[in-house]
Formats: sequence, C-alpha cells, structure tokens
Amino acid sequence: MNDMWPDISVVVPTHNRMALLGRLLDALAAKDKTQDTMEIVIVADGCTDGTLAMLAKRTDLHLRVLELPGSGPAAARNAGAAAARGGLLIFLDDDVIPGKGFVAAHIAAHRRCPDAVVIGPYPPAPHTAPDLFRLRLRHWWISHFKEIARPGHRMRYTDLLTGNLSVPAALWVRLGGLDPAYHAHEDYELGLRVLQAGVPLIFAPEARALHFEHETMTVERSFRRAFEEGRADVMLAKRSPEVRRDLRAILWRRDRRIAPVDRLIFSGGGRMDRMAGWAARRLVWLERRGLRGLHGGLLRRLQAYWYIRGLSTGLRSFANWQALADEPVPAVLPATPLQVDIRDGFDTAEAAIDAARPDTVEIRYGHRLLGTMGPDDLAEPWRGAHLKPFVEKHLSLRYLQALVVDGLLDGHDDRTDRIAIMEAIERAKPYFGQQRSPWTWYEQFEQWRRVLKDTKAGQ
Amino acid sequence: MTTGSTGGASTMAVLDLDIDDLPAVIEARPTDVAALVLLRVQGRPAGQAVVPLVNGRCDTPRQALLEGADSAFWEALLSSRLDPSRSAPPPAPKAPATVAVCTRDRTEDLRRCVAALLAMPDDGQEILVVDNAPRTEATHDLLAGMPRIRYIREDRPGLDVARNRALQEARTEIVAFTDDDAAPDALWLRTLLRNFDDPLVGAATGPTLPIELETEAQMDFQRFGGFLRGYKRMVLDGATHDPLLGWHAGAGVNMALRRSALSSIGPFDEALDAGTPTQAGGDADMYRRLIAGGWRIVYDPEALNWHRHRRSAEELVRQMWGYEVAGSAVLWKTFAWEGNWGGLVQYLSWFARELALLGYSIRRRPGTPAPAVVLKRIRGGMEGARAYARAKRA
Repeated sequence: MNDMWPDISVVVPTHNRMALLGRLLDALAAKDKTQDTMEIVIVADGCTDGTLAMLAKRTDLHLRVLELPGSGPAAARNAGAAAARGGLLIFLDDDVIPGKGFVAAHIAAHRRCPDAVVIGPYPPAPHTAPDLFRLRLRHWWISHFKEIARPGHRMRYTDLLTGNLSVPAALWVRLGGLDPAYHAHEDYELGLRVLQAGVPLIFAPEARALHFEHETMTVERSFRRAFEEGRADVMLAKRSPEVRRDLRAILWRRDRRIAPVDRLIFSGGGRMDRMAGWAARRLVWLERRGLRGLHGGLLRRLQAYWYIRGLSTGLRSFANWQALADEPVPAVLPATPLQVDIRDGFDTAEAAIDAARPDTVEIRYGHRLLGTMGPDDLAEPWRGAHLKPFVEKHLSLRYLQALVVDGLLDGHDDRTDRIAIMEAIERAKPYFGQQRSPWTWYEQFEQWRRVLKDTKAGQ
Repeated sequence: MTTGSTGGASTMAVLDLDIDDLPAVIEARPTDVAALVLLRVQGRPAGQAVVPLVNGRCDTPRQALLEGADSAFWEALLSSRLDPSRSAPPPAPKAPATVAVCTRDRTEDLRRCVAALLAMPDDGQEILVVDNAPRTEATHDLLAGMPRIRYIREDRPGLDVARNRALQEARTEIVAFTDDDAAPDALWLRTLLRNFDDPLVGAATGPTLPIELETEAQMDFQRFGGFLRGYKRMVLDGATHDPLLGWHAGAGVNMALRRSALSSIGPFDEALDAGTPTQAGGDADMYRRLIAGGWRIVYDPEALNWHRHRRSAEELVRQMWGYEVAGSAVLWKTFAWEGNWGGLVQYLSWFARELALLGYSIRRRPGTPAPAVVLKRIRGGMEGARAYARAKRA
C-alpha cells in the first residue's frame, strides 16, 4: 500500500483547542491502515490550555510536537512541514476531524496524479443551531464544497484552503511553503503560486473530513478575521496585479470613487471601534426579534468595517487606497482560442481540450458558434471534463436549438415545425437556471394563458 | 358529460407522458379543450406542458408538447442527453419509513388513495390511516380487510391533532404524509426518502398535480399554482430563506418529516389547520419552525403525487378564504405569541400588496381578480389573529 509513499506526515497547527485536537487524534488513530508508517506533527502555536500535557499522554500514535510562541497559522504550517520526515504532507486544521479512509484517499489521489496539490472536502459537521450567524456560515461552507464537487468545476486560486490539503514534500519545498507575513488568505496566496507554476490542483471527494467550525467560530472572531483579510488583501494586490479583479478593496469603489462612509472608517483609524462594538451588541437583539434583514445588513456592515480597518493598517494613507483602486487592472490576455465542434459528439472535443489545456475554447456546432469558454488567469486551464457542464450551464439554449434544427429532437420527422419549437425554447429562456420562488408561478401562469386565452376557462 | 361539470362547460384532460414514449395521437374526451401534461424524461418527472386540443384530439403530440413545454423540461431533456445516468430512479431506502394518511369521512377518496399506496414498491414501509373523529364506521370497515394498513382512531378532531397522533404512533425515523383525497406516484415515497441522506434535512416535499380538471374551480385552482412549486429542486435553508416563507416548500398533501427534528422544535400546532378556526396552515407553520430551527427542507420535483381538487366554486372560495385566514394566523402567532417582529413585517407587507392589488382590480387591469374576490381575501387576512386566539382557547 505504501510503496510509493513510504512515509506520511500529518501536520496540524493548533492554538488552545485541546478537546478538539484530542478528537482529531482519536479519528486518526482509528483503523487507518497507514498509521504504522504515519507520523503526526503537532505545531502547538502559543498554547496555554494544557494541550502539551494532553499530547504528552498520547502514546498510541507517532506524535511529534513542536512549540511556537504564537507566530500565526502560516508560520506554524511551515515549521511543521520543515520538521516533517514524510514524503507526503497532509495538512489538517485543528477543528477538522478526518473521516474513515481519509489518509488512504489522499494517497490514492497522489497516485493518480503525482506532483499535484490535493484538496479534500471538509464541510461543516452537521449542526442545527437556530442562530443566523451560524446558519449563514454553515451555508457558506456547504455551498463552497458543493461547488468544488460539481462536475466541471474550474479550479481557482481561492479553492486552495489549508484545512484539508496534501502536497508531496518535495513540491512543498519547490513552492516555498506559505508566506508567514499573511495572517489570512495565506492559502489564496499559495493558490496563486500553485496555478501560476502550472501545478495541478485536484479535488479528492473521498478524502472527507468534517469541520467543527460551529465550535470555534464566533461573531467576534469573524470581525478579527475580516480585519486580517483587509490587511492580507493589500499584500495580495501588491503581490500580483491580476488578483485585483477579485479583491473587495478594489471592487468596492463605486463610479471609481470610494464611498464617503468607507473613507471615514479608513481615516478614523480605530476612533469608531467603540461604536462598532456597540452596534455588534445590537445583533443579538435584532436576531431575537426576528429582524433577519436588519441583522444581515448590520453584520455585513460590521464585517466591512473591520475589513476597511485592516486595509487602513496595510495601506496607511487614504491616498494609497485611492491610488490602488485607480491603478488599471491588467486585462486578461486574449489567447488564440482552441476550436472544438460538438456536432458529432463530445468525445473528440474533450480529447482535444485535454491535449491542448487552452485558456480559451470556442465551441462550435457545425458552422454555428455556440459560445466561448473564456480565459481566466486566476484559474486552471480548461480541461475536457469542463466542456459538458459548461454547455449545460451556459449554452443550454443554443445547444438545444442546434439539436432542434438538426432534427435530433423529433426523430428527423420533416413534418415538424422546427421554427415553432425554437421559438418555444426562446420563450422559456427567462426561466432557465435555478428557480427563484415566484418565477415558477409566472411560468406556469403563462403556459396556461397561452393555450386558454381563447376559451372561457382562460378568462 | 363528465361528472361535476355544468352543462356545456369545457374540461381539461390530465395526462402523464414520457417524451421518449409518446402515443401517435392524443385522444381525450370531446369536452376537453386542452390537456395539462406531466412530461417525463426517461421515466422521471421533468416538467409540464399545456397543449390545446381540438375536439379533444391532438394529432401531432410531439410538436405540441415541445411547443408547450416549460424550462424545467428542457433542462431535464438536455441533462439526460448529456449524461443518461443522471436520470436514474431513486434507490430503495436504507431504512423503512411510515406513510400516514389523515382522513375524515371521505371513504371514496380514501379507497383510491389506499390503492395507490399499496401499489408502491414494498420497502417495508408501514401505512397508517388516522381516522379523525369519524361520524360513521365506513373508513374502519373499508380498511378491515387490508392487513397491510394499520387503522388508528383519533377522536379529538383537527388535522394537526391527527398528524401528531400519527407521529406518536410511527415507529420509524421518517414519516411521510399525504391526504385522503390524494394518490401517490409509484416512486413517491422512495423519492422523498432519498433526500434524508443529508442529516440536516428535516423535511422533504414534492409537487402535487391534479387528478382531474373537470370544473372551472379545479382549473382555476391549478392555473394559479395549486399545490405545485415547479419542477426544479429547491433546498430551503435558513441562511437564504426567510422561515416565514416556509410555505414555498409545498403543502401538507406531499411531505415527509424527520421525527428527531420534531423533538427539538415540537409537534404540529394543534391550534392550526382543518378542524380549527384557523382552517389551514399547520404545514406552513411546521416548515417555518424547521427552517428557523436550522433544519433544511428539500423540494424534490420527482416526488410526485396527485390530488383531487375541490370541484365546486363554493368549495374553492371557502378554501381560498381559509388559506388567507391561516396565512395571517401563522404570522400573528409568530408576532404576538412568539415576540418575533418579522411576523408583523411580513403581515404589513402582505397587507400593502393586497391593497395595491385591490387598486389594480378596481381599475380593471387585465389578469387581476374581481374586486369582490380581493376584498374577501383581505377580510380573510384580517381574520387570522382572532381565529388563532379562538383556536388557542378551544
């Protein structure tokens, strides 16, 4: 089993989460065939809660414990990786509990694709907390992993998260590890380097773990995190200009101007912190009164507040923010597109995309141009597996109409009025895609009205 | 002339057709001016079409259906063409479930319901019939010869009382509910059950189509939506969906509940629904509390069943009035009894919408109901608080 990866190192940075860490170790100890050759490197980063004593008692695992004075998760992961002896590094967060066959699934993914970065899912551990903050966070995580697991998902740098990640040790060294200057989004920064180096970023759905975020994340921590994200985004924007297309700091300017209230927060430099604290305490009241909209609006506003405070720490002067926002973002380079024809099926087209790994693909159906899979320099190049889901999601109407013209939906029956069917598809157009609540009634009502308008029943 | 229709009135056919297995012609009754067609793709419910009929006939069904189909059908067709394995039927459930039917003195309807329930594949499910404060022994006698059905008599009247009794009597984690005037599709139960693999799902619901469209009242009910919530899968999550709009999930005629979810949020509210002054709303209130309690609700468009809508105009008007009373009763319960101001906000916005509609209606904008109908709805909506208070006292 382990001939190719004779040694595995699981690296877990931790900070004062003794109980959760204990559960994580229990899960790793439970019948994973690889455990004989597996070492677990715990990086105790500023732990004061008895974590070290707890670890000293664990003799059932090959444990190695490093101590850091509280240097932040990126530095802790780097230190853990540097101390690890394994050929394959598996990074786990201390609130992520691995499932059955977790290590084996990571190994299998690297066997299928050597020299790749592998991420596994860690959706929230099922919890039903009647708490809006919790519910929104849970929803974010569920949606995040649902999208990554969707067939045809195109990997972006933001998909690299360090909570459940494995990298061959040699590749980790080549990439240079994480940048310890970042206290948030250090994973995005690594994701950028991974994609720019052309290293495959792969999702392994079987390498499943559960995230106990509901035991660790709080509203206050989300503010601290927003602050760190603001600081990190300044560094990201300076580091790679193309990423600015994504950053809130830059997207927020309206009409190329930053909103006055945001300017006030930025320049206030903490003078409004007490007011923000007061507003944050109102959240509980809004929630108890069931005022969902106000609660969501205030929470978003407060997170924005702390994000801007982070920006101001990183940028120092408002002129710097203005300059950063005004600097033109480099355009995505127009590449010569690969042309594929799906009239005779998808197999040839998919093989052509897999061979070329292009930035842009022009999808044709015979002589008709259906659409273009566009370039994105913050995402992996296109793969053959992206084609069908792309057609289904973005080109469904045109593809269906092409099938109608070809007579494929009426069994080549020439008495068919194909124009009328094309028009019917066009009519259904506004309703394609995900359902929004009242739309289904409009669509049904239209269906009835069209047919019954001349009869008594339709009046 | 068909039953229930008045002299010379037009009717509609209700058909269930698979796009890959269409008849050469559609031949219905001469009175049928159109057909409401459930469209299947590879056997799975996918969407619907409304097609015109001439003297009850349509000689080019494929053409007519493709012209009248909805977006959900086209999406399902494309999906099955791109990847046929996606239209797989639901698997047999891992654990057996319970089906509960709450009934009261409607033996003829119940006979059809029970026959359809018994025609479902036997995955070890138990079928409960809760006979709610019956006036006769007819239901008891009907079921006496059916060993696969467990008969329970609940003498306290009220639909939510009967539902709670069913939840108490059930021995399984999942309990599916349907009404005595409905009949499930053969794979209805299996399809509902597949959604409970996600431990956060507290309820699953599905679309309900009419068994017949014989009268104006039945057509009107269906035309304005009926129990149908479209043919696209929806997941209602408290993060993105206001619990007070829980009724978007569907109706009690087609739902399955996780019993352990109810142990945290409580049973059905016995001051709501049929048999009380509030007349309806037990299901909507349950969905509201599930979503607010952090549970998710899945609307699975393939979990199909059929319902015989009210036939006469008087019954329909009474039903619509009941819905307005119940809708506002749930909002007032939320506001005045639970201290949640969201209920009041929703109530006031409902009121504003109805007043606007009344304005349009008086100015005779096309597509609006008559002013008398709107006024009746507004009066119904103003009844809710009192009705709920009366029901609580009872």
